[in-house]
Amino acid sequence: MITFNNVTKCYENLTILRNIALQIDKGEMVFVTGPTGSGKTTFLKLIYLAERPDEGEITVGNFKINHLKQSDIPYLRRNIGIIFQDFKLISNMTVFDNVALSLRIRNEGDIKNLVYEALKKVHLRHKADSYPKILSGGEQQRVVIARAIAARPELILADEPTANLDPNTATAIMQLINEINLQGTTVIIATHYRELFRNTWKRILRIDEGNLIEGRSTK
Amino acid sequence: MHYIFKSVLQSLYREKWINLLSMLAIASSLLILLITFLLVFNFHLATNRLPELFSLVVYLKDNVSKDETDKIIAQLNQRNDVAGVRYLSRSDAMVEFKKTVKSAGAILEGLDENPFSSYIEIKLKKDFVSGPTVEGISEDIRKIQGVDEVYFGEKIAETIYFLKRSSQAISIVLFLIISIVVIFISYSTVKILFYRKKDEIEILRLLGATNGFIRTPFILEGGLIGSVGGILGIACVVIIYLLIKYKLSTVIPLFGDIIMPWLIVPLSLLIGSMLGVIGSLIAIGKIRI
Repeated sequence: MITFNNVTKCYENLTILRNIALQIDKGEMVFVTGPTGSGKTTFLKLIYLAERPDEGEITVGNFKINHLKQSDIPYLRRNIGIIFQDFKLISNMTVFDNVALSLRIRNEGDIKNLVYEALKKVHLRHKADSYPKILSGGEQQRVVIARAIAARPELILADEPTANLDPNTATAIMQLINEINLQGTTVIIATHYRELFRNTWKRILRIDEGNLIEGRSTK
Repeated sequence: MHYIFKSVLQSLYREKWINLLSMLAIASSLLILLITFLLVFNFHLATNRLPELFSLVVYLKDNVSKDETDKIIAQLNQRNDVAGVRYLSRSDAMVEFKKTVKSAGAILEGLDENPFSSYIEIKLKKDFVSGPTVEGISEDIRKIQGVDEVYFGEKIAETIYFLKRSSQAISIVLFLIISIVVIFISYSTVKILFYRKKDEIEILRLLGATNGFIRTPFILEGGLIGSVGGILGIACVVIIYLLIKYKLSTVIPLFGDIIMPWLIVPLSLLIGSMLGVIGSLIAIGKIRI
């Protein structure tokens, strides 16, 4: 599904990711961890091409990232559902419209049913007509998840999906992401909270001073 | 397409106050531009008419016969700088004087014979009404046999020429300055309006929206705001024009002659929508400034 072939990414003179080589298979759930500022978000940004690698090659599905033209980037992103740390919800749109946006961009039919189905999965069907600003942090995060899954992408990228959430909400969010993965969607979660993967048997990618260290969490 | 139109209308409604402000800014900018245009246009028309009021007066010698007079008139008519020639006999000159001067009767009282000479009035073509040119023409005419004297208002010719020339220069400079100001105001207004949507554009990009998907509603919105601004602007100009033409002219008759070139109505609509579209294109990065 995703291949990193000796990828290096620098910001000015600072090497954020050094010579990364890895493969993530379809249907896998992977945690990318490391301290704040270690390059977790950069790792995700390389996948959805918000950043380009300085060296090495990246492949996401059928897209060879290095050679992708600017005009083709939207088509790569349509295969990816992104859960942003800062939500990135449009404040003057209702929950329904925010979720529907990803479907409208993909020119999907039957938007109404797909949106309600996604909202039902995150238990926010009743909030469809609300605006994001009146929702709690946890509810906003669930709207973001609904938006990410509504179009049934092959890959979900989650950047600190439980940051600023209370433990109960965080657990509920993680359960939800886990369910999505169980349905066959590849999931990559960037987080610095060890508790999120402590009791799972999932693959862990730890970024330490630009190097990627592979591991697996204990059950 | 349904979504695009819906989102344009929703966006216009959601941001109604700032949108209204943008429309008013464009409307007032256009109002300034159009009023300047009207002033310049009418001033230009007025100065263009001034040369028509100017004429040369050619006095003939007393002994010039009818045939000789006709020859002189024919000679003058052949000149390429002459627009028209009018001959007035001594009796015609007397009648003309009486028509022009109300107290002519009192002035002429007691005179036994007609004191006026016959003369030819020459109207020059517009482009030849300037001090040095008129001087040259009068010199030429003086050389014609039978011509006694050529009279013209040298200062008047110079003033007309100066006014005509300076009105063109002033019009161009004024119109250019106001146009630049209007474009800047409109650009800033629409730029501010769309700058507020910077985050929305970023989100759309991250979700996989193509440039067309992102730009179309913004351009439509800009065009709509500009068009409404244009309609408001031209409506104000028409109202002001009608008030001046039909109300103010009863007090100051000069205003009754004001002319409105109606072509500016569709033109201002076009300019308004263009300003909105250009503003939104700049704002979403199609045109970089």
